[in-house]
Amino acid sequence: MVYIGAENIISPLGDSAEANFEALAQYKTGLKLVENAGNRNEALYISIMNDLEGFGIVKQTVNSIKASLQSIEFDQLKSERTILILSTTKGEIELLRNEESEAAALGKFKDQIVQHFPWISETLLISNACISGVLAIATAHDLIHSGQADHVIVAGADMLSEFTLAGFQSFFAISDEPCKPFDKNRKGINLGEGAASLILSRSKSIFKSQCFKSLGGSSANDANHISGPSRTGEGLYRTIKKTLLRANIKPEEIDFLSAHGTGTAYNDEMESIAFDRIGLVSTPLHSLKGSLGHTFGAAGVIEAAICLQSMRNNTMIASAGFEKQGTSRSINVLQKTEQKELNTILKTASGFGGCNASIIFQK
Amino acid sequence: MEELVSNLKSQIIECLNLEDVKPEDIGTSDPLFGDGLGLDSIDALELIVLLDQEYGIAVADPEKGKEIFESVESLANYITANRA
Amino acid sequence: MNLKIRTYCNIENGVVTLNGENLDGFESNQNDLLKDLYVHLKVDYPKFYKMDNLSKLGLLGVELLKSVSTSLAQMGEDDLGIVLQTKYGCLETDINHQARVDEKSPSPAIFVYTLSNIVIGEISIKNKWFGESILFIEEPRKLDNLIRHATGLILNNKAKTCLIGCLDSYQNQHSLKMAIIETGNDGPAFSLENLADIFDKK
Repeated sequence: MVYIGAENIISPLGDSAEANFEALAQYKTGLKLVENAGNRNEALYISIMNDLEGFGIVKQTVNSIKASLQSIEFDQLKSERTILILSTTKGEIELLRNEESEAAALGKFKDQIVQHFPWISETLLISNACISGVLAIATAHDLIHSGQADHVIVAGADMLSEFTLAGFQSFFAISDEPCKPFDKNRKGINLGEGAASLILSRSKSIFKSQCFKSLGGSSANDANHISGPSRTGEGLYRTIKKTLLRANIKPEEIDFLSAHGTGTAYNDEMESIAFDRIGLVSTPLHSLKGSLGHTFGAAGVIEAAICLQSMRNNTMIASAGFEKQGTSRSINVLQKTEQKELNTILKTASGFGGCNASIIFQK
Repeated sequence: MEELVSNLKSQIIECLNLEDVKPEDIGTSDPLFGDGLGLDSIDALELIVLLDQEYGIAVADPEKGKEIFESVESLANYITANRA
Repeated sequence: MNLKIRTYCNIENGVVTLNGENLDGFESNQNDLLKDLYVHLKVDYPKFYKMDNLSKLGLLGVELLKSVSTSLAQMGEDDLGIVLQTKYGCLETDINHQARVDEKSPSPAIFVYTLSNIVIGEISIKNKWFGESILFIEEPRKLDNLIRHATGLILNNKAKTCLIGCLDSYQNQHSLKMAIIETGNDGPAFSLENLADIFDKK
């Protein structure tokens, strides 16, 4: 068995998983209108910590990992068979602006994090677009499950930068309002920044408070287009199907679904098609992008941490921005934060490059 | 107009990296998208950048691109009508 | 479990080898190694020209392997696991995108390649492979990372066959090591020693 817990989130809503969960349960948002944020000085809604490019991604990632380590029995975790997996799309990309091109390489970002944890013998960095975080957790699960590691710390982070904002602007993918995942009037994404971490282990006893079971995950590619989501939800359908089968869980046993839900027309439609094909249309679901924006490499870890918080509190967080069904398949998007006994949660993600991933957590 | 059409064909090839295509392979009224040149959604966005950079015409709604980029002819007409 | 290295290829300093032998009849002036190889392999995939160099390199590595591997050519849609690692990733494209951002004219066709895993997307699209895949930022010498994850995918029944590789394309230097890993009796055992040996053969 693989156990998971000790989650932390650093976002504009707070610097712990608890603070973030509380804020989200009270319908608070990290999104705010920031003047001159766009490439041509447009005002944009972003979920931002300080000012643009003032996130301090290395420091925040280190802080997040340290916070997670506070929640475990450190003496038990500290071993040669403990691995750190970092998940990020762009790391410290702001350095590129100062023509320090090689300093912006992701390997350098990893080196800087590693310096803070000299006792960790091995650190991996997964950079797999928007599924990086979910894939990092699924990989951590597999490493423990196949006996290649005893404990894995997973940390995801990405920062807001002109680099990413301008790129998505050129895609006409950015909404000029707070984004509305799955809603009829959705107009695109908002960007966000954050860091999050959690710990997986073969040992239940390292966790100081309640931990959960990781039932593992999988990934699948759309094999269709590098930026356009599959019209049939192919990769997402295939990864969910594989993950359910491997975990021996039926779709109707999923109590709650933490979707990707970026707020673009094509992505959200694609997700609804995949959920319909699997038989998850009635499962309550949310996207957190309407509260925290899209945080890329951090998103999967932040959203997984909220899944764990949801099980701790038996509370499903509403999907901010959703008012009217806006996908061809009618899905159960939560408009209100609700109490419910939560035992089994499915987390999904999809990204550029046609990649999709999913993972299941259980009480 | 003829000069604009001829320039556009070269610019499209250059901008979209259509290495195996020559200007004379592109029929002026042939559809640009679909089977013809095998262009996709990213190419459509890239053509919007081309319009902005080369002709100073900003397209605010990418959905409009479908009509504008139907053929080299429609693109040339759009540029002629919108050029300052 | 009997995991074997079935087919492998190298691209280093402009020299292309397949299963340890120089590629038959291939010559390149090195300035345009990737295009020369594309032409030599008769790939006929116009989208190739739209890709960044990292994606071109990865796609060509797979085409090289396919030219001698029957199992790759007949691969089931969900059967292949892909594990790639790269040191610089898409840094070259990052630099190109940043230059366009500075000019206030970002190009969507460049931006889309500012994710290092796009190379896996391009390989998957070209070959209609829907299976497991993952991209690590890692030094090419860390071959044990490839072994661990490819072995894991096969042991955990997530893939029947694995495509592994290290690739980098930065400042016009292209470097690729790629191999097909399968269960069976033929070929060198999938060990660190053997992998280092075949990848270092010049």
